[in-house]
Amino acid sequence: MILPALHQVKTTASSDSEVSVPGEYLALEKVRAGDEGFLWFVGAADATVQRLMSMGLIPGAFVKVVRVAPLGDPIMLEICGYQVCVRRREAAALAIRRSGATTPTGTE
Amino acid sequence: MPVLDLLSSRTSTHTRSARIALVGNPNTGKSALFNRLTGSRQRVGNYPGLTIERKSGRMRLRGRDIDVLDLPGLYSLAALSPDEQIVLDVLSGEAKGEPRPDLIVCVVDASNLTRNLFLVSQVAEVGVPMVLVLNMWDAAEATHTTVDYKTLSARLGVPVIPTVASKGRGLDELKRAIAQALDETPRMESVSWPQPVEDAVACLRRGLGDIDDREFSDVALRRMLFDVEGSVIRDSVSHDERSRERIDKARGHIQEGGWDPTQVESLVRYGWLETLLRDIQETPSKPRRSFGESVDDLLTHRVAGVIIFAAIMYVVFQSIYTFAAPFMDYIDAGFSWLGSVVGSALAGTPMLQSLVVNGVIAGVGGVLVFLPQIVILFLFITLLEDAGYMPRAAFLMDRLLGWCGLSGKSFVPMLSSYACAVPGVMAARTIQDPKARLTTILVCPLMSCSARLPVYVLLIGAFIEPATGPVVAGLVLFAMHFVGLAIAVPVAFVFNRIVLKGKRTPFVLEMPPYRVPQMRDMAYRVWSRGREFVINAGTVIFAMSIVIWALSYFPRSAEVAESVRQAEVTTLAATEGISEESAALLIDDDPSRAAVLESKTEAAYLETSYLGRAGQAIQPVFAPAGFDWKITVGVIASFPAREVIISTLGILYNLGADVTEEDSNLVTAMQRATLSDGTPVFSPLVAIALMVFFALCSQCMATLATIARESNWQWAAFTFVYMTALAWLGAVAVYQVGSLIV
Repeated sequence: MILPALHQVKTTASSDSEVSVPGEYLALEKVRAGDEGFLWFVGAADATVQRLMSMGLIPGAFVKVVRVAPLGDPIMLEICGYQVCVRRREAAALAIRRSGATTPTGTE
Repeated sequence: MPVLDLLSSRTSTHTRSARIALVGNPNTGKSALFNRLTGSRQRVGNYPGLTIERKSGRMRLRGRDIDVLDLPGLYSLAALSPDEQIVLDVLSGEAKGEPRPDLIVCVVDASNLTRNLFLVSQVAEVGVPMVLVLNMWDAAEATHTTVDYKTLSARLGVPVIPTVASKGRGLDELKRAIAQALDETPRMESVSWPQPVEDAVACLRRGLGDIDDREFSDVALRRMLFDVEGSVIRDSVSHDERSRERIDKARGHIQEGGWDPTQVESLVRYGWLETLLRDIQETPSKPRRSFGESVDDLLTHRVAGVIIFAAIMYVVFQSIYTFAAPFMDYIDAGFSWLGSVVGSALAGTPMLQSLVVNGVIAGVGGVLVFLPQIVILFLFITLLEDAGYMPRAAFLMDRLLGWCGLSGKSFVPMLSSYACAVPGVMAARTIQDPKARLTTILVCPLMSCSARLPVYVLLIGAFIEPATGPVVAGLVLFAMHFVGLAIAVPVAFVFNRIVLKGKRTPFVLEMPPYRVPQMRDMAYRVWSRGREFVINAGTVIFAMSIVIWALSYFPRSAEVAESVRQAEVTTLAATEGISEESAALLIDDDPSRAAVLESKTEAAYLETSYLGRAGQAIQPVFAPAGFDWKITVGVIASFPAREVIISTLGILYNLGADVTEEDSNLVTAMQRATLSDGTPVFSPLVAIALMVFFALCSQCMATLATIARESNWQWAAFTFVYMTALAWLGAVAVYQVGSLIV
């Protein structure tokens, strides 16, 4: 279980200038099976994303794309030692920062 | 003083019965624990969201009666769906006619502690005494996850009990803790909110004070601040438009503090949990690949997964077909035997005989004959559910069904409906989203159930095969099974767009680990399903059978029988060149002639019965589909159960009620039947139109009664209307378009 320290993720992610940097972030809409990294927000949280957050998909958490359903959607994610599936479009506000990157930091 | 307090609280809790509620994430074993505590056998499945409704039971603890409430599983108190709303209502004491529970038993999955405790931290803030249960302790041990539950208990300030509910381990300790907690009312330590949140809560309380008379708790105010969407915020905003403004203003405090209001709750709670669980929980740093994961690689593989899924469904479908057949034959033979025994016993009173034999025994027996299918189907569904396969199937199928408003979870009920829509509609209970569940229930009866098969076999055998040969006949039979499915998808789409307006609820589904199904739970569930079905047949079907029988039996005037006999005697006398007296004697003496006369008399009775008259009156409605009045009567008579059309056509075509679909006499009689102008009644086109009608029509009382029970009578009525309309349109379209081509 990898969780960021609170002060590091305090900043509002949805208005973060960093998100516009291409390549660094991989939107959940576009991930493939096997992709993994630290979760980050690239859009505003709607009810579905809030539900996912309450299930542990919070900024900075480590997620892995375990598999993709036959027609490319939904996708199955592994987080906090369990698996959850989501539709790509419904998780469009989420992105992952590829492995190797450090725990995401805010703009503070 | 404290001593006095303690004493007074003791006496007060001892004199009344207490209420406890089980709360937790989906699939944490709440229902298994509930069964163990109360001794009742509520269904337990390895499928998130099996407790769709609330279940309550009773246990005795130290001489005290305790009501135990099993609540639907949920991830967060930000309630989005009705079953989550139930939990919120119960916890806040707003459920109708129910006081707030005296104690909450929070059930968490010990191997997934962090996520499970998120909800617990929300529940703690409601301020009800709590006991925390770390269930599935054995599964946690198996993955080498250890939890120092004593330290956890000390940090939280509430009892923490490890259990294995499915095996009954830790139950005595839990019961002891519950009894003690009811006296000592321990309350759990929870999150301390950052100052900006506290400011926002205070700001919102002031803001809403001017415009809303209601007194809001901190918990409710925080929900309004945090939730983008949810029942609490919906209520407050719909109450007064200005509430929206006040909420936005209060959210400003959170933003000024450097937090995103939509994220602050999860971040603060998970931050708090991290501190809470520090040095308490040890998880293997690199969990080794479990057996379940390797199975998953196969079962949810893009190609192999789909093939296995199809294979499993084929086996289920085929088993229902094959294994059920001999049992169905036994039941059928049993009812025939019963009918003949009761029939001869009641021979002295023909009306009572007809009521019991043709009405009750034929009606109830016609439905009970499907019991073996129900049992076999539920055996498979239970097995797949308990093992944990269903969420995988939902994952595989979601994309195929998702676009029209169904969800991946709709697939199993729809597939079950190919055997019988009754268990199919019941299986829709596993769908959490009420809208997707209702859509699924509404389209399930469109799947081609096994009761349609006899009708197809009869009509294809009589009119398609002679014209086109066996290969095309087989294809037509196959195609008939696809008509319903092909129609169901666009129908579901239309329902979602027009009838069930509103947003599509998201598909967020947890994949539970695979588990070995417990025989005891499985056997009980299959048994209770079977029992439900039999009770239904004994009540609704019983009543309907009597109504239909009465409509097709009365008025039965003696003149009808007399005129049929007279016509028969006259015809025989004319063809044989004998006197009418000898002809009458000849008919009475010759058993085969007497049987023919009896059949013709029955047909005449039916023709002049209320049902027969209705058929003739309604026939113009079905004329565009090419149906004559006899087919119309058959169609009308088969509304309670579609198989009825075979015996009805049998009566109408002068062969007596006792024919089966393989009876070649019925086939030849139908082939020979002509209209008054001499053209044949049936053509391949009429046969196809009739089959399409049967494929789409809602001709099953059992299904409608089940829909009514699973939703309400309005939706059952709606199903009846839309399917009948669809069937009529389908039959007319086939006949009219076909007439242009042929």
